[in-house]
This record gives sequence, C-alpha cells and structure tokens, in this order.
Amino acid sequence: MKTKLCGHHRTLAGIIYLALALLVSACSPTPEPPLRIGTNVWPGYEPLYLARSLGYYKESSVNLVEMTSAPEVIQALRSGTLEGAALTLDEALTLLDDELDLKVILVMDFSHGGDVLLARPGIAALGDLRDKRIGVEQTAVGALLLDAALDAAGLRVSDVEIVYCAANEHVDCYWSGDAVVTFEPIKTALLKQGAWQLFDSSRIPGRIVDVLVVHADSISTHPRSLEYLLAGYFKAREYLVDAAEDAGKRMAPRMALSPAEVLASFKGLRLLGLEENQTLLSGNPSQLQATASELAGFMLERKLLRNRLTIENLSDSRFLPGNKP
Amino acid sequence: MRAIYSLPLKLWLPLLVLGTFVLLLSTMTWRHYYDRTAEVIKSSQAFVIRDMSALQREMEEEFNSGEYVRVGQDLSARGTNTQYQTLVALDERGRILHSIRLALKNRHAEKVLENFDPQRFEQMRRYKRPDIRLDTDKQQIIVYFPLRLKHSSGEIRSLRSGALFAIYDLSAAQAEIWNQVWRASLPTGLLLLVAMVVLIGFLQRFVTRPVSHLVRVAGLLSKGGRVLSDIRGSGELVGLGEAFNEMSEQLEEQTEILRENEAHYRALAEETPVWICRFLPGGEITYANGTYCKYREKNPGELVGSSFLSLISEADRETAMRDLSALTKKSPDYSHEHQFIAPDGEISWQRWSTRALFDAQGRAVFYQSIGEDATERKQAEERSARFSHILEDSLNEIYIFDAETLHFLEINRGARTNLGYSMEELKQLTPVDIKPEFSAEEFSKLLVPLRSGVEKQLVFTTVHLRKDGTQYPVEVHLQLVNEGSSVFLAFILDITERNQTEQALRRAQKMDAIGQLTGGIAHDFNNVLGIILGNLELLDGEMVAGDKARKRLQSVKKSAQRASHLTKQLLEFSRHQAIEADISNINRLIEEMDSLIARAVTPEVEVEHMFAAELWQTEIDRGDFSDALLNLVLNSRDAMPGGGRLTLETCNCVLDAVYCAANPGATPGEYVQLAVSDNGEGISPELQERIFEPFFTTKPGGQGTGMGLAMVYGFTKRSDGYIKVYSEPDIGTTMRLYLPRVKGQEGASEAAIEHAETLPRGRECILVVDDEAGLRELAQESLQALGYRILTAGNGLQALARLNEDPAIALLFSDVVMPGGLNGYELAEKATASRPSLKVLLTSGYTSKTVAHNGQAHFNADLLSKPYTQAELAQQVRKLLDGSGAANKEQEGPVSTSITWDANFSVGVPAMDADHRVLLGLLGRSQLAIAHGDNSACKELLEQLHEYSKSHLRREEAVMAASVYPGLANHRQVHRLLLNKVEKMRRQLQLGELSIDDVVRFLRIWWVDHILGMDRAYGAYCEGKEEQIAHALEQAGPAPGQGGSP
Repeated sequence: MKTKLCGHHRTLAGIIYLALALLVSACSPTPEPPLRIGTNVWPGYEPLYLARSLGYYKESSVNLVEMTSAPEVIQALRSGTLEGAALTLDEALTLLDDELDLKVILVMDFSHGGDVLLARPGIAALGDLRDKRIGVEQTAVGALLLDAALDAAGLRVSDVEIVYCAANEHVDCYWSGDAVVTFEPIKTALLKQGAWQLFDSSRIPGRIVDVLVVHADSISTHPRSLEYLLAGYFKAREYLVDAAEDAGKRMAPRMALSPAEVLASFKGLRLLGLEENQTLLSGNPSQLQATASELAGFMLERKLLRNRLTIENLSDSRFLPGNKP
Repeated sequence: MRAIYSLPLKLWLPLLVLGTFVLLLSTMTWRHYYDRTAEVIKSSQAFVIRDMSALQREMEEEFNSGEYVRVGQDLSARGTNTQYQTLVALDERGRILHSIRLALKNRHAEKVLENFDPQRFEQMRRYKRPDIRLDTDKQQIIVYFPLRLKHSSGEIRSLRSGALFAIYDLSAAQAEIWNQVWRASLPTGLLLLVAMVVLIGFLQRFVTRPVSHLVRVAGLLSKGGRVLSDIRGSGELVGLGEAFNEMSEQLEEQTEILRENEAHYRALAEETPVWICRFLPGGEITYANGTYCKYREKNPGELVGSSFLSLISEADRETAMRDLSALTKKSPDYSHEHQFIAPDGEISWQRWSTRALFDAQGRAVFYQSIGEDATERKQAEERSARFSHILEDSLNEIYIFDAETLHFLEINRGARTNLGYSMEELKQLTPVDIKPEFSAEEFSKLLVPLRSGVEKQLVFTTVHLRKDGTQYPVEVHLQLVNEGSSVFLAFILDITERNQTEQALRRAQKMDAIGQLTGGIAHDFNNVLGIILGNLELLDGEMVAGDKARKRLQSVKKSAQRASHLTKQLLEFSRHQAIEADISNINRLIEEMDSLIARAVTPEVEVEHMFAAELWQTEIDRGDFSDALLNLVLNSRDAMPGGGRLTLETCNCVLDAVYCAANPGATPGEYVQLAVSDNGEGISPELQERIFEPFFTTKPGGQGTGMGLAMVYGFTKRSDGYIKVYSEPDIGTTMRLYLPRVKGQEGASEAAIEHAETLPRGRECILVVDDEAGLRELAQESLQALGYRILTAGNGLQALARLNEDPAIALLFSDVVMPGGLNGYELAEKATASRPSLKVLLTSGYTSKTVAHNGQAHFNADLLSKPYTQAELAQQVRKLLDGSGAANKEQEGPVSTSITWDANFSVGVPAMDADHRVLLGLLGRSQLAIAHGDNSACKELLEQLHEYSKSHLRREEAVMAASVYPGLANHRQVHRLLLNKVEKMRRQLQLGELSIDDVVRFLRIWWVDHILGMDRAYGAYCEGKEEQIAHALEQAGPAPGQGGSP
C-alpha cells in the first residue's frame, strides 16, 4: 500500500526560512557614528550643554566637544575631527572662504550686547583708544566689533595697536594691554574686575549671528543624530525659560560663573526660537543667505575674506523639529 | 528530552541540522569577533599610549615655555576623539587643571570622576611610570600618565608631578566589530544554509520517509490491519521493514488468539451472574456488563455515561463518595451495601465490591465494581434476625444442643432466665446437667428413636434443675434437626402453673363431685326424714300427754330432727339448699359478731379487724354468713393453740379472667372479699386438697364433725362466690371468701319467719302436687289438720287437670322437681296464666337441677325449703292466702325478732337443749320486761339468768368432758370469758355505765351465737354416750329450778 507523506516540503521550507531569518537579523542597520559638535564657551551655545546635562542626548550618537576658543573649534572643523560646530556667521563665512562645504542648520542667537569692547579704567571714551593696545581674537567677530567701535570712534586700524589673543587669553590680554574685544562670559568677569565697557554688539544689531554648521557630507551620514541634536536644543531652550533657576545651576560650572550671573549673561544676546529659525532658514535663497551675502560683502571690504563668495544653499532647515529630514 | 520525543522525526531531524548549523555559524562568528576585539584592544592600548605620550610631551613643553594657554587647547583638542570618555590633567593634589569637560575644571578628580582611583594615581606619581589597564569587562582602557607640571617659583627644574587621567571607551568599537563580524559571516552562513538544505533533503529521502512509512505500517498494524512494508533494497531500515512484515503476520495470528480470548472473557464478563461496572472518579460509568444492564432493564448505552451515584439511594451517596475518595494504593478495596429505590418505588439491596486503580501519582484513575442483588439475602437476614429475636424473646425455653456431644449451642433468654445460668455457663453443660431425673445413659437412650428416625418428635415431662438448686416441672418437645450438622431442638414449657391450675381444677371437680354425691344422697335422706318427722308430729298430736310411748316418740323425733339438721348441712354444702339471701354489708355483719368472735377465740389470740371503707354490698344468707365466719374463726383458733393473731379483713376486689383461668371455679367479676388470716401452724398442701370435703377433719377423733369448712365452702358456692386457701406450714393460713357484689339497699329482702305457738288455720281449697307419695300425703294431712280442703296430684299434668276441674282451688302447693315433663315452675306458670289469682307455693330440696327460667323467678320468692315443718308450711300457706306473700313483704316492714328456741338450736343433747330453752326463755322475758319498761323485773330476770347460766355452763362442761369433746378447753375458756364479762357488766349496770337494754342485747346475741356456733359443735361427740352424759350430769348437779319452768 502506497501512502503519501504530507507536509514534508512545507517543513523543509519552514526550516530554511528560519535559517535565513537568523542570518538577516545579523544585518540589521548599524548605529550612526559619533556626531561631534565643537563649541567654545558662549551663552548662546549653552542650551546644547543644558540638553546634554538633562540627558536629552543619552540615547544618541551626539557628542559635544568642549573647546577653549573659537579658533580651536575652527581648526578642528577644518581638520575634520568635528562633524559640526557652533560658530559666528562670519567665522562660518571664513571657512567657506577656505572652500569648506558647510551647511547652516540652526541660527542660535543674535549678539545684542554680548560682544563688547572693554577698556581699562581711565579710558572713558572710544576716542581715548588712540595708540592704545587693544586685544582682539583673530576672528571675524573680533574684527567686526573692533571695526565698528573704531568706526564709531573715528579711528582707523593704524591708530591703535592690535594684539591678537585667543578667548582663553582675553583676561591676561586685558591686564597686559589697555582694552580688549571680548564676549560673555569673560565680559562679566572683567566688568567685575573694573573694566569699562566702551562699545557693544547692540550697536550693530544683526551683524553678529551665531549659527550651527555641519559638514555637508555629515548631513547624509548623521541624519538621525542631527535631528536629535536640534530637538534636544529646543527642549533645553524651553527648559531654560520654564526652569531658569535649575538651568542656571546646571550651566554655572562650565561658564565659571554663579547661576545668577549665568542667567544675567543671556541679556547680551537674543536666543532665536523655532519659528524664527524656520523663517531664517527656509526658502531659497533664505533670509540667512541674504544676511550672509551682505556680511560677506562687508568682510571682503574689510579684508576679512580673501575671495568674493558666491553663497548658495547655505542653510538647511530639514533638521528643525517638525520638518522631515 | 521528552519534548524531542514528542516531536515527529520529520521535524526534529531538520531542527537538529539547523541547530548544528547555528552552532557552527555562531562558533565561527564568535571566534572572529573575539580575535577582532583582541586586536582592537591591543591597537587601542598602543594608540592611547602614543597619544598620551604626545600630549604629555606637548603639555610639558608648553609648561616649560610658559605657553599655558596652549596647554588647555592641546588637551581639549582630544575631545574630538569621542572614545575619550574622560581626559583630564591633574596637579599633584589631584585637582583638575584641564579637562575635555570644562565644567570639571578646578575640581578634585576623586570627587567628580567615577573610575578614578587615588591609590593608583599616587603609585603612578611615585614611580613616574604610566599605568594602563583594561577594566574588568574590557569595555574601557583606564590610563594614568605622568605629567610634569609648570615649575614653581625658585625651581630650576619643575619638581611638581601631576598626571594625565583618561578613560578610553571601547564599547562603541566593540559594537562596530560585532556588526562587521556578522556581515563578514553572511556568505559563510549562506553556504552553510545551502549545505543544510541539501542535508535535510537527503535525510528526508533516506531516513524520515522510510521511518515514517514504518511508523505508518506499525500504526496500521496496531489498529489490527494487515499491512506489509514495501521498502526495497538492503540496509537496516529495509531489515526493519521485513521484521515488521514478520511481526505483522505474527501479530495477526496473536491478535486472532487475543480476539478469541477477548470474546471469551467478554462473554464471561457479560454473562457472569454478578454485575460489573467501571466508573471514573467523577462517577461517570464507562462500562456496565450485560447482567447489570439486564437487571436495570437498560441498554449499555443508557448506563454508560450516567453517574454511578444514580445507582445509589440519595441517603447513601455522600457516604459512598467519601468512602471511595478515602481509597489509597495501599488500601484500594471497598465493600458497601446500599439500598436502591427503583422508580416504581420498589426497594432492593445491592452489594458492591469496588477496587480503585491509581496512576503513578497516586490519583484514582477509575473504579471497578463487582456487585450482586443482595435483596433476598438481606431479607433472609432480616427474617432470620427477626426470627432469632422472637425465639430469643420467647417466654418458652428453647434449646439447641449438639447431636454428638449434647453440649448446648444456643439457649434463648427465657431458658437462661428460668435456669439462672448465663449463656457461657450453659454452653459448658448438656441437657443431662439440668434434667436431674435422667442419667447420661438414660438420656442417650431417650434420643435413640429420634436419631433412628422412628420418631419425629418426643414429648415428655420431667423437671429442670435451676442453678440455685430448685426444680420446676417442664414439658419437653424434642426433635432432631439436620441443618448442615445435626442438632437437637428442644422447646420446653414450664408447666408449674399448668400443674397448679390442673390441680385446682381437679380439686374443684372433686368438690363438685362430692357435692353432687352428697347432695343427691342428702336430698333423698331429706325426703325420708321429711316423712318420718311429719309422721312423728302427727303421731305426737294423736298421743296422750304423759304417755310413755310419747316420751320415746319425742326421742325419735329429736334424732330425726338431728338427722334433718345434718342433711340440711350436707345440702348447704352441695349448694342444693335453697337460700334466703339479703343484700348486706359484711362489715356490719362482722361487727355484730364481734363479741361472738371474741368469745369463740382463746384469750391468747389477738383479733384484728381491717375493714375497707365503703365496702360493696353482697347478697348473702346472713345466717349462713355468720356460721361460715364463725367456722373460719374457730378453724383459725384451733390452728393457733398457743395463741397468735387473727385478722379479719374485708375489701372490694375484682377477679379478672386471668385469675379465673388459673383458678377454676372462680368467675370474673366484682367481689367483696373477706379474708380470715391466722399465723398458726398452717395447712400442708396435701391437706389443702381435702379440707372442704364433708366429714374431713384432722382433729382427734370425736373433736370435729368435719362439716365446718364444708359448710363454708357450701355457703360460698351458694352465694355464687369463690373461696381460696393460702397456707404455708408454720407460717399461717388465709382463707379468702369472694362474695359477688350486688347493687341495692341493704336489708331489702330481710324478713323473718315468725313462729307462732298456734298455727294459723283456714278453710280454702289447696292443691298439693308432689311425685313423692309420702310427702304428698304428709302435706295433705298437715293441711287438712289445719282445716284446709286438700286436692292432690302426682305430677304437673294431673295438677293442671285438677285446676281446670275445680275452680275453688285457691293455692297451688307444688314440688319443683317432678317427673312427667312439667316441673314446678312450668306448672306454676301455666296455672297462673289461666288463673292469675291463683296463689302458688313451691317447695324444693334443692334448686340447682331445675332452674327457673325468665318469668318464673318470682315464684322463688315464696319457696319453701324441704324439709319443712308443719308450722312453716302453715305459716307460709296462710301468708299467701292472706295476700302477704313476698310481693307484700316490703310494705309490711321488718318484723322485730323475739328469741324462741327451735330445732335449729338443738345441740343433740336433750339436757342441754332444755337448759338452752330455759336460758332463751329468760332472755325473751327480759326483753318483754324492757319492752314494758319494767326494769326491776328485768333485773330480777337477769339475776336468774346469771345464776342459771353458771349452773348450765358447769353442766355443759361436764357433758363435753363426758363426750371427750376436743374443744373443751377452748369452750371452757369462752365460758370463763362470758362469766367475767357478765360480772363486769353487772358492775357497770350498777354504776349506770350500761343500760339494762345493752346488757340484754349483748346476752341475747352472745347466747344465740354461742349455742349456734360453739355448742352445736360438741353435739356430734355426744352420740352414743348418753350414759356417760347422764352420769356426768348427775355429778354436776341439777339445773336450777329443775323439774319446773323457771
């Protein structure tokens, strides 16, 4: 008697399917490599660290690299050891001048008194700066503010002695010279030591802009991390408003100020919200691009740039919360 | 392992291959990963050493050159390497100078860095040698690197030694390695997969499929089909297939055998006379055999699936479930009986033996019950128990004893109680031990007819011996019963009572026979004496006074009168004497006799009365009662020669049927009881048999007539009563008289026959009817002498003819007992029917043979007892003719009694009778004197009486001594008592304590009682002793005033 053996092939197929599933599971998508974002110390950048402190980046590949000065950050960005950095717009233009392919994904703040020119007591007016040693960071911001201050004083660069010093050297520079172009939190520290504030960024509104830039290729390699980065930033910004006291405590050690001083230092700048960022970054050309073009023209005029820049596709708003990357 | 066995081969074989594949791939991948990780760790360590060396060099140079700002930049630049989790420069105290985390600056490493170890920090500083280690889980490289700090002021060369502390994270690198390794293993995996699929296919083709085939074949075999394996080739599986084929054939053969066996055993189980049921722990029946189905009148399908509990009555279910659940592996059996109530209400009994079968865990899997219908057995048991119970409770004695050893096997309670032995004691005994009249040999011989079957049953009487040594008569019914083993069954009747009853009956019958005999003789004698006396009286009237012949005639007449008196007593005994009954209260009669009784007994005898209050009435002849009581008292007195206590007790009592059954002669009903008890010498049982016989006496010759108790017996019987003797030698005797209760007025029929000195006369025509010619003529002559015209008839028919012929007949005087088909009653009835005005006077010696029927009883009111005197006849005839018969007596009222001597007072000794006559005459005159209010005359008469009495008593005692009367001492004692009493009364009379009336009444009663009760007793002893008496009287001196009337 011949009988049919049922289900034999079905069983075999099942086994093969099981084995394949096992293999495929080994090929699951790998986590993104670390997204390294470098910053120097500036109140406008602190919401990023507040976000880290609050644990918003715990589950992501976001790494904040703390550097002592802007040139250091620029150096690292240029050398490729950072995927992104918080910079002033002028610094970003400088890097574009060096043909780095960067994208602005976030406008962080406008300096509104945060950048200052401080003078030793006795130097009461801008005009008194003639022949004086003025310390300044070798950055576009430094150049911009000093240029605006000299312009206001009716002086030329040749009328003063320029001493270049990095941000971590500003205090020393102040004491060894007559004046220094600096910013928060050094501004608060020096004012406490008796420095006189002769000029500040509030007199050149919209000229000093802090942005978050990333290498253009990082956008494709770290899309999820970038999303995380901005989402965390905006949450921390809300936290700073909602729980200012705790936020101040969390930010104080990094800025080497008291929590109250930390919060006071935010008066010298205007943090931009999500809607403003949408406005600034969206469109082609975006509003930011227009601002950047204007600044580039100014910088070229002041010989802060070597080449006339053709600025295209500078901003990328995809990573703003609510937008699809 | 169990799970693998439960999987089919076609599944677990591929799984085995897959498992092997996974194991292989995992091993390869793991090995690869392990090697790569080791490489990475090694290279990372080398990198960290190089990087730290470079940083150390840069920082130390900058410290030396004073470019302190650069120091921090060099360190923070390393922050871009994200594997540096921590990187700090520490001064000699562990304070953080620079850090890739600005917030840590100026803080102590020990406080803010998690993995920082101060000891290692110090050790490294001391030896200036880098300390690089992997943490335990190889996820981090922890580095302590020496760092010479900027020199202090005054130092040519900096001596300050700080450190670089770094934590280099390897986890991200390892994760990356893992990803890479997996990716790298993918091709290998695919290759292995292909190999696996090929292998599985191969195994399916050459292993799984043949094995499945064999399994299927085995499966079909197991279901009883005949399937042959068709695997071709050579190899183990083929061999296995062939083995299967062989096995299949063998199985088929064995299955056939098994099937036959199964059918055989199933038939056995189905048709076995017992019930077989199998049920689950929940009670659900899974099998019920044919016998049970048949018993329940159901199909197996109806029973299977139903609950076992439904087979049990509701009351027993809970118990059954509890008992079943209590069964264990060690004790799996359970037997139970229960009632089953069928839907039609029929109750049956079932007996079940249940065995529980358990699984490995000890849980009951199912129960198997074997049962049977126990109804018949149960009913038989109940019947047997009931029967046993009845036998046990039977008052008769029942014995079962072994046919061989004769030892008792079973003895019922009745037997045990009667014998006084316990069951255990009796089981040690044989019938011979309780039958003293039998020896073992005799008893064995007795049993022979039963053993041989010649007799089915033996009935015999014997006695049984109790444990206490007493014996009792029994009637034994013995039979041999073959029930398995042979036993003897004995039913024993204790015939003590029966014997007593029979004895009593015999006694009653004997007394009756004696009564009949004496009655018959006495009747005839009476008639003869009637003729003699009648003729003597006629002769006496014809003779001249003072004639010598008349004296002789008087003597003959006296003797005839004595004979008549004796005959009368015999008739009284035999109940043939017509009685004159009155409704009486015997308490009062006894009280009236108090003094008489007191005189009758000796001073040593204490008389006690115990009278019941509200005693019922009884209808008796008062005179007879007095005689009977006196006789009983005298008997008791004689039984207590040394004195004692005499108790007279009366009470109401009811004799029931039971008592009467045991005492033949007694009739159930209400009675007045008189008990006369003494504590004398008692009467032996043998004598008790005879005491009521006439002329039976135990007294010395001449001292008793033997008629005393016979008279009592006769009186009782005539009164429709009953007499019972209780006596114990040396303890005493009680005579109980039961006299029937009547309801009526005391003294309703009291009457007295007035004696008159002159007989009433008349001229009416009287028809005398008697079959006895002598009596007929006597009556004729007597009545003719009184002036009546007399017609006679010899029988009833003649009488009727005479009545028809002569309408002048005013009175019919007829005998009751007559031949010729018409007795006195019938004659009277017919005569008065046609002539209502006709007066009727019947006469009879006895009445028992001829009983008055309804409507005739009223003739008894004026019955004249034979023998009658002329005076009695004259009185009765005149009374009837004058219309003062029985019907008018009540209107007339009681007639006052006066004492006159008559023949009844005769003691048979003429001298004594003469004395008595004088005495009674004096008493009569005393009464008259009182009636006339002449007390002084009365006193004088009493003085005379006193003197005469003393003389008389002396003379009488002389007569009694001469006649050797045995009661002389007692009699004399009574005389002394009287004299003492009279002396006392005389004093009381003088003192006025007593009236003369009291004295006369006392003396009257005393003398009457004494003469009638005591004096008549010695008369019998005087017969034939006339000379001695005459001599004694001479010695005693003459009576006062002898020769003339006082």
